[in-house]
Amino acid sequence: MSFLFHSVVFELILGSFSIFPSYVLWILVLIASWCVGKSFESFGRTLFVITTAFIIGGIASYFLMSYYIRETPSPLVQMFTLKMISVSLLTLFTLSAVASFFGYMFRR
Amino acid sequence: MRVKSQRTWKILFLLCAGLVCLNYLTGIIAYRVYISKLTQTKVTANLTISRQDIKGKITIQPPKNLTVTPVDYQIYFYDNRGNTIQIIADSMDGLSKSFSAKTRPSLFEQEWHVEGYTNVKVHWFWISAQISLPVEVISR
Repeated sequence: MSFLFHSVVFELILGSFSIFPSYVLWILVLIASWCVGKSFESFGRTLFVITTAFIIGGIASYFLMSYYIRETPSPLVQMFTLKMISVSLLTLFTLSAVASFFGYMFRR
Repeated sequence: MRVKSQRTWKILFLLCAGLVCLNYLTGIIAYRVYISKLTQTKVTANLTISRQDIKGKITIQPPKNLTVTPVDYQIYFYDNRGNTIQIIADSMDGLSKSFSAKTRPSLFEQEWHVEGYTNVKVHWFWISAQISLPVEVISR
C-alpha cells in the first residue's frame, strides 16, 4: 500500500515518463483501498493500515524523489510547486480513506 | 462463499498493485534513459575571434533515436563581474548554423568568458519537451 502511495507521488512529479495517464493510477489506488477496506474486520484497523502506509509512502517518496531529481542537471526537468503536491497528497489520502470505508461498509 | 470472495478481492488488489508496479518501473526506466540521452547530446560552437568580427558555427549532434529540433541559440560574453559584454543570438533551423557578428571593441579591453544556450524541442517515443541545452563553446 505504501508502494502505491509512493507511485502516485512519482506520477505527480515525473508523470510524463510513465505509460498510463495519471488518473488511471488514482483509480487503481482507489480500487486497492476498497480491497483493503473489504479484507479487515474492523474499520479502525483499516484506517490504521491506510494511515501508516501513507506516512511510510510519504517519507520514502521524499527520499526517493530527491535521489531521482538530484541526479539530473536542473534545467532539464520541470517540477511542480510544493503547494500543488501537498494538496494532491491530501486529496489522495482523503479519497483513499473514503474508498476503504466504502469497502468496509459493503463487505458481506 | 466467504473465502472465495475474500480471494477475489485479494486477486484484484494484487492486479492493481501489479499494474501500478509496471507503470512505475516503466516510468523510472524511461526517465533514466531520457536523461542519459539528453546528457549524451553534444552541442558545440567553434568561434574564431578577430579584431573586426566573430565568425562561428554551432552544431548539435543528437544521439540515436532522439529527435532534436533546434529553435534558437544565444551566446553570451561575460566579463569578470558578470556584466554582459556582447550577445550573439539567432534562430536556427537544422542541426547546424554558421554565423558572423561584429566584435564589440570593449571585448578586447577586459577579460571575458563565454556561455551559450540553445533552446531545442526534443522528442523520444512518447516524451516531448522544449528545453534549454548548454553549449560548449571553443574560441580561438
